[in-house]
Amino acid sequence: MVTETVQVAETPATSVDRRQAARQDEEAWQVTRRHGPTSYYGLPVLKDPRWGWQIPVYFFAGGLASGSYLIATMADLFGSREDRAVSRAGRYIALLALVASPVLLILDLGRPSRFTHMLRVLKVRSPMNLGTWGLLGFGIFAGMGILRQWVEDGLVSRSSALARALGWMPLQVSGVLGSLLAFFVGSYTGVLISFTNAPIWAKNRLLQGPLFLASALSSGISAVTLWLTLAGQSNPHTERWMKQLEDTVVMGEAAATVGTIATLGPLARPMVAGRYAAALWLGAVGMGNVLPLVLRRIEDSVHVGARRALRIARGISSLTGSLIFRWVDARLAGPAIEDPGFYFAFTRGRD
Amino acid sequence: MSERPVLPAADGQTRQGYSGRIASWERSGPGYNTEPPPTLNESLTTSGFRIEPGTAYGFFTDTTVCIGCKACEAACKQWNQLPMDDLGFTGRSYDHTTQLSATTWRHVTFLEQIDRDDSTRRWLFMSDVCKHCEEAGCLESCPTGAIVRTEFGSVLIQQDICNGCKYCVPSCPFGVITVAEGLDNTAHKCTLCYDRLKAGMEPACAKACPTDSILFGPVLELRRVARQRVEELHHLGVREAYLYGLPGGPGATGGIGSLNCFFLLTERPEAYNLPPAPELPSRRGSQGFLTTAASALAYGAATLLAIRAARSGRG
Repeated sequence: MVTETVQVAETPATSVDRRQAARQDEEAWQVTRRHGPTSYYGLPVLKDPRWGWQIPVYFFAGGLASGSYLIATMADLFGSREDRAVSRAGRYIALLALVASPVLLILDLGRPSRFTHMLRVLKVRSPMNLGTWGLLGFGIFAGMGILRQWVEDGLVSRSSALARALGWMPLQVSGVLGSLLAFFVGSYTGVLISFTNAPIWAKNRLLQGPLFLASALSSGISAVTLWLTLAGQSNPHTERWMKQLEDTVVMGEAAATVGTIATLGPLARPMVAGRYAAALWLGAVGMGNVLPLVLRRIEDSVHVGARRALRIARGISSLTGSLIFRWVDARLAGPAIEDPGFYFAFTRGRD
Repeated sequence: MSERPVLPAADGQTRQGYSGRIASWERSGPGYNTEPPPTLNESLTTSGFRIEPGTAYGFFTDTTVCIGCKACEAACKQWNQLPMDDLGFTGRSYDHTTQLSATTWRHVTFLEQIDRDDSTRRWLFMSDVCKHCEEAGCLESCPTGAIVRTEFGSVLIQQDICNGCKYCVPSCPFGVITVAEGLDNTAHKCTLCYDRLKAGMEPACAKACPTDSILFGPVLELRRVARQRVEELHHLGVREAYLYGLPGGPGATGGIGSLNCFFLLTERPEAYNLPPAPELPSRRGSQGFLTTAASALAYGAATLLAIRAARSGRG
């Protein structure tokens, strides 16, 4: 049993103290009168979920796995011989990211040993439940992809039971199904956070998913390019279509960001002014999109040796920016949740 | 206070609580009471309503009768064996709990108000609690299925299933639920004294309330009582009295339906930190899946075009 001594305010001894106490009382009354009708002492209404760093990092890892797998599968299904390296790189990156993802999620749980409870039910109205099943399914298909890669690389013999079991599902079928699940895993986290009452996320319900998907594809492209550069396997043919795709994705990301700010309106204030604004514009947008594009322009006009270094820098910058974006988006909800004015304005704007 | 409907006792007994028969040391078996709960519904005597599964029960909290004694907070803490909160002086009138949380399931708000000409001061009290919404945001969001609807219409978190994912926390439009970090790391909130309801006893807070500000009973009956009370207050000149949580009214908007635990308030909901027009988050969130699917199609097509263009450009 813990007993605590409760501090009791001492009665003011002198008349000066009493006057000061009376003035403080009066100030308290004034504060109450100001805050009275608009909120209860300015205390927060909504509660912050207080997710740890594992959650934004998982958003990044899940997106990375999704983007890499999609690039790999598209290259495998529709690409040419030169794109085989892309397929290989994407599959390995997806595997690494997918091994990390459930570890991150389990670590953030209040009771990590009960993580299997997520699979007790299938609840279509709970994005977190759907996401758990989606992650499981995606993991299976990514595992199949890696198995195919190991067969191709000769690590698993073609006549083994595993390879033959793989043959039961044609490449096209597993590619399409896996891609559907990859699209889901890369974007459902955005929809998940918009299914809460946090004003920044909930008001942006239309664009939160597309925003996360664009970021996932962008990090997938960057990671595959970085891998190919480091392994010395990049070739002009692959580079061309990956650069074209990167342009499209960056445009999509920019459009989603602009749309987000337009949708949020006054609620977008923490995005442009506040402690996360610098991280958002310098880190997420600057390092994530602007710097890589600038480096790409420079890359075409320098000699080959520096080109490799620039490409590596481009990849690292883009991936870091993507990670910062996830972190900022998770943290941005904090001010919106803690300020009752925000939440009441958000609720009053509805029917 | 208008007359509460009193139903006649069904079996004539007046004793409350358990029959008290304890297995003696002479008998074989466990040394604790294994008698089944009595058939007497204690709630019949204390609240006027018999508790039967299959009916929705809730609270009607009449803030005009509340005296701010916090007996509800104390009874709730004691019955549910909840840990103590930090006993610092918050400087917010007599409110030293400040909000609902995993360890505080009843919270009395103290609203001191001064009129514009400093002439009249009002001191409003409201005992806040989980609203046990008809369509609950926490219930929908829970990925493990730990949060369920009981046979008494209440929303219950099954403590052996919750794994502390914290997704229910921002999903509650009223900010009721939190996770007991540093304690058992699972989500907790008012259970409508589910264990007491199963034993035929009304919830601890309703039983402890000395002014019957907290009334317990079937929700439909309570609504009837509440409407009568509002009419009575309007006749007495308290025109600002209204109900928060009735179907279609403030507090029950946005797909929530209605609140099983509803309130009679005499000030705007924001003053009590209650949202005037809360919404069930999932109600319009599904649009997000559609836009995401559309953007996925677009990116898939873009990838395909890029790859094909590179192939044909080369060949």
